[in-house]
Amino acid sequence: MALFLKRVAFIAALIALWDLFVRFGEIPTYVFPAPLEVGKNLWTNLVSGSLPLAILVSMKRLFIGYGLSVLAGVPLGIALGRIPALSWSVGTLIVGLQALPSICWLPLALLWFGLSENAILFVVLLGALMSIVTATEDAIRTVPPNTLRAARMMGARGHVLYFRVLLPAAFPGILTGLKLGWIFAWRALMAGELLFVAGGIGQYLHTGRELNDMAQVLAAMVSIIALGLAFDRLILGRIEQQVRARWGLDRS
Amino acid sequence: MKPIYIQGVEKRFGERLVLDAIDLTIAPGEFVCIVGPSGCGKSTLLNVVAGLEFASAGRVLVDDQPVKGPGPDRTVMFQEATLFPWLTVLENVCFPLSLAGVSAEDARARAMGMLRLVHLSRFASSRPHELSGGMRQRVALARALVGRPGVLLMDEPFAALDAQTRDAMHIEVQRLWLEFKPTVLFVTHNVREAVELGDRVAILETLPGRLKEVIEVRLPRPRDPNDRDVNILSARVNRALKDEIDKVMALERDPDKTGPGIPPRGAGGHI
Ligand SMILES: Nc1ncnc2c1ncn2[C@@H]1O[C@H](COP(=O)(O)OP(=O)(O)OP(=O)(O)O)[C@@H](O)[C@H]1O
Ligand SMILES: [Mg+2]
Repeated sequence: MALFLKRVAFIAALIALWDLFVRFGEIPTYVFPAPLEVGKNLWTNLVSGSLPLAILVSMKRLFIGYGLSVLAGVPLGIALGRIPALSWSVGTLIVGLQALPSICWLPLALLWFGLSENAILFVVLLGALMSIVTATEDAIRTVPPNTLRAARMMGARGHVLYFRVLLPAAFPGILTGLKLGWIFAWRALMAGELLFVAGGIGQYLHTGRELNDMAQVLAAMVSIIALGLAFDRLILGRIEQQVRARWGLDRS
Repeated sequence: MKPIYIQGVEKRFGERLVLDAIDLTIAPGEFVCIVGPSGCGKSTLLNVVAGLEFASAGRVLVDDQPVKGPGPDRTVMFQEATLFPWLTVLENVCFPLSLAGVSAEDARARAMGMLRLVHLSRFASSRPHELSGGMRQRVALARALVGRPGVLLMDEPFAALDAQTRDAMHIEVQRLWLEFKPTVLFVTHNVREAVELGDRVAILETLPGRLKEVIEVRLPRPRDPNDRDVNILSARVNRALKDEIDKVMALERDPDKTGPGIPPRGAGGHI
């Protein structure tokens, strides 16, 4: 809790500094508005319902795209970790594709799906997929061989071995991949929304630019940061922390 | 229970001959220790008996059946406890029972009884990472014995423990072995440990691994590691091992001198 207060104090100080900077630096509002302006914009858009709607639209895209990515990525990662023939073939491909920023899939997605919701879902899915696959593969591969041997000697085979030993053993590593995937999905979504798709927070940011409304641009950026942090730290981060503590990974 | 027959077991990794014509019969309920220099194939032999590794030639019979894969009639213990960190101590010990289809209630009762035998019932709901290394190995021992396997395979199970904890574990193991009488194959680097625990001590020679000598330990139990007879026998095993260790050292110092060839049978350490 003390840490939390310290963080809040730090952010408050930062905002105060920003305010002083704008006030005494005589910087025009269209270059860098005061925090109050940004707050006002946030508030108007919040009460008018346009910002909550944008958040809702973005979140829906994120959950669907990311959800699909998890559904595809985890099984694929497990297969890559267990089947050597897949590892050097598909695995190599995945590593290669990782070098491609997810937004580069957008032109392809537009040609395939047109200017539609599916195009953005596709970009989000691919944005998260590679990191989920590679982390899962790695987590499966680094399960201690003797843990598996002991399990097989106790009679664990087939799906029992997978679901009661291999997956729980790899779970903390998979979770790290899911967390990383979440961040990538979020970035892919923002890039996609900013570039073309209607609705969502990216669009809110984009409109700010079109109207030359710097306050809205900053307000949108602040919302993106806040949402990203909230999910990453408060939800996924918490789960990861609890799992790591239960698995005994944070000691030693 | 039938003896374990290890018959003409040979193991190659690629071109490399690691085990050569191992013949060993282990009586039901017997405690056999295997010693040998590092890399001579002790773990490989144990894994072949476990069914985790397959012999290139020869076969292993357990209960008159050739070993075709891992199975709960034989359990293993390794240097690390290999407990599952996501389960509590009790759940870990229940695990093999639940795989064998024992009802949850029965499994808990039996696991709890086993934990009492290793003096860890107080820690039933702890997680493995909350225990010390020695306690973890005791849980592993409880887990290995809870299904009453006929065969217990141990690969340097106490090598990572400090000397006091290891001594305590020797006492536990002997007590539990006398109580359940599984057939034990116990791999170790520690000659004194082998003599203290084993009915027989099998010495493997290296490059390739062959059975060099099997020494009977006809001493009353429980044995004291500082006992004079234990020391005398240990010295004898050490002498037999020394040639083999010299051979490994010589090879490590100058690998070209001896080359990759296989020394003739019985060449001992005279390189
Ligand atoms: N999967 C494998 N592939 C190739 N070589 C292997 C494999 N497993 C073991 N070996 C080789 O076989 C030899 C015997 O290995 P093993 O692990 O059985 O020795 P060990 O006697 O148990 O040694 P240590 O005392 O160090 O545990 C070693 O030289 C090792 O390099
Ligand atoms: Mg070994």
